[in-house]
Amino acid sequence: MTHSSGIPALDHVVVNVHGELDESVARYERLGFLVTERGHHSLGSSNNLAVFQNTYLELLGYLPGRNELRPGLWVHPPGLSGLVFKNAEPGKLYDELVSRGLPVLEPLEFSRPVDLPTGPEDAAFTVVRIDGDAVQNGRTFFCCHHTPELVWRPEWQKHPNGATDIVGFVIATADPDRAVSPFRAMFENSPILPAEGGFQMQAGTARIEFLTPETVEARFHGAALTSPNGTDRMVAISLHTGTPRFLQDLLTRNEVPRIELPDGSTVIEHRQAANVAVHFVA
Amino acid sequence: MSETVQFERRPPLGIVWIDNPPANALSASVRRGLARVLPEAETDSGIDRIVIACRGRSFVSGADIKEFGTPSDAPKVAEIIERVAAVSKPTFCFMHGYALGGGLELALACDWRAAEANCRLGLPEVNLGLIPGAGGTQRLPRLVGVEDALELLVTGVQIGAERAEEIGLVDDVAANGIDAYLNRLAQAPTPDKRAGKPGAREMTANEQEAITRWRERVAREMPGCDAPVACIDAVDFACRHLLCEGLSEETRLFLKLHRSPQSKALIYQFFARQKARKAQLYTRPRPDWIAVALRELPPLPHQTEIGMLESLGFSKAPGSILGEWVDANASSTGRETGRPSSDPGTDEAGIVARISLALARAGAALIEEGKAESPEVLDLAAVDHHGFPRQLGGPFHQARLLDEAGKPQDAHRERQIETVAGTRTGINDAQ
Repeated sequence: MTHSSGIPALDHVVVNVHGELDESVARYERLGFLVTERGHHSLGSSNNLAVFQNTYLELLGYLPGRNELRPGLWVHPPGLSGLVFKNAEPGKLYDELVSRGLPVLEPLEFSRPVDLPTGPEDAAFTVVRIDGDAVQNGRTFFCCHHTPELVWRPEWQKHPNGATDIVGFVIATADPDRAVSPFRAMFENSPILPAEGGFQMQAGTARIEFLTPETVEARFHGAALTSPNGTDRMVAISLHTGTPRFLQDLLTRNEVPRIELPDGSTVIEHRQAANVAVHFVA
Repeated sequence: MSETVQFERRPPLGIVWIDNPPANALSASVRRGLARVLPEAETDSGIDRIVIACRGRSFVSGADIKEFGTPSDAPKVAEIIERVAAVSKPTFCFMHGYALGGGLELALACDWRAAEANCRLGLPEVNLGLIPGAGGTQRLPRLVGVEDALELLVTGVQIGAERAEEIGLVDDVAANGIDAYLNRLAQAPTPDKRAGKPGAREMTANEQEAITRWRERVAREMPGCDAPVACIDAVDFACRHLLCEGLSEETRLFLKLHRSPQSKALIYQFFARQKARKAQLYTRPRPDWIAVALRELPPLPHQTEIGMLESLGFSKAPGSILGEWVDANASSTGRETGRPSSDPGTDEAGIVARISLALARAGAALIEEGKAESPEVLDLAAVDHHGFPRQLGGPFHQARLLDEAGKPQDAHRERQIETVAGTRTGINDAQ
């Protein structure tokens, strides 16, 4: 898990569900994700994870009465709101990003107790966050896991829908040039390539794409929620799944409406998954 | 100029005063003011509960009608209301006077609601061909249940504070005014944030039955109206989805209605009525007008045309344009209404245009002769007394739409509109 700051690798994505954690967990279980027990951060937020081989999805929210501990988090609209890259050396990364003139906040350490059969342990993290509105309607940060063995546990990586990893992350933006510019600054040695309707960047297992709302609309047949007010929105994730038939059977059993795309992949509409278009590719 | 939003520290209370006379509308300055003071109240360690209240004679009585039809400045109403919903400390709302539309949606975003005994509460958006677009359709059913939510949303009715307490919309009818309320609240034990009732579940049989019953009622009593149907769709969605999904769906439904000709027609009616009231003009039945207009129409409406007009919301009651059209000819010819079925009918737009042009032409003559005040007043009379569907705005409004769209059905009609709606009544001048 050593990643130098110059080479992007997706660590996890955050779905902000505000005060609806229980309901969101039920929603994602219905889509065939194995969701971990509720965790509570030392910073006041609570979460449940769907853990994959190299990445994970975090349902992040607050329990009634606990959101005052971390008020700033709820400013972003509910839905996909966090794009998190791996990093092993937060101190060094912080210095580098500062020297490149990026608006970056001091490294922040926090933890979350994890209940294991052998007793409770603390999962510990250090994050380095980009400040301000450079990334609209969401946060981008780097996460250093001090205890990866408390996150990527084999018993959490077996999903009934067969998902193995997050392989795509889509940001809808009316101005892809502007939207990619902070990422160019973050990863100056890594190529960000033109793509149809915008740009793309490989980040470990995942392709991060910055696409116009029209491109997003066309690709997902309206399944993704683009911003009604013209601002950028993180709108979709793609997951690699093993046997497509298992996925189809599961979705049928759970009565989940979905759209079959011309390339044979399946997408769940944002209105079934806490404002996120969840795209399954074989 | 003083700020339209003021923050008063009265530990343990933080009071957010809205002060935007006359009606405390959620204008851009109020929205910016709320965005400014909420973080201040959240971070003040001496404050553990936040109250939103209004100066003047009423709570927030709605959006700012001056902003109708124009893109509003950031933050938008829905954005600022979600900001209130995300406030990290327990929030209270004190309502007096009127709490309508965006005002009630603001209150719904708070944890707890109190209202003065004579306060009137409602979500009248449906009267403008809209649904509440700032969380109202999603938070109300979670709070009061499907049946009462539909009553408020679909009919746009205003209710009093006592009724609001009965259905769970307010927690507290504050009999002794705001000062007593604030004193009581300041002495209460530290309150909790409140967990809303979840959506994203199986609907109960009662809820499903209520949805079905309201759909039938709307089809029967409000034929041709899109907004009440959208209200039911939004509540139906609220029961089965997360709040965040519901808010996105509400936005989608709202924007669709906001762009629709029905909403434009109803907003036109709203302003026409305001103008008429100001000028103390009252509508009255105009049988003379209807009689002249009938001469402009073909002798008999086709049976399929009658069906089409009824489904668009035209009334067939005595004295209505459709009723008289059917009736006059039935009695004069002594046979059943309806041309033979072999006679080609016309489409909905065509038949509405035909009736509207007949009425506009006849009305223009009345105006010219000094027997009627204006196209607006006649449009109001058409709706109030002659069974013209409110959601179509009125015959002059329809005639002008044809003109504005630039897509009349043929050149002949284009000339007709120019003559009828333009030169003789000055409608075009008003555009």
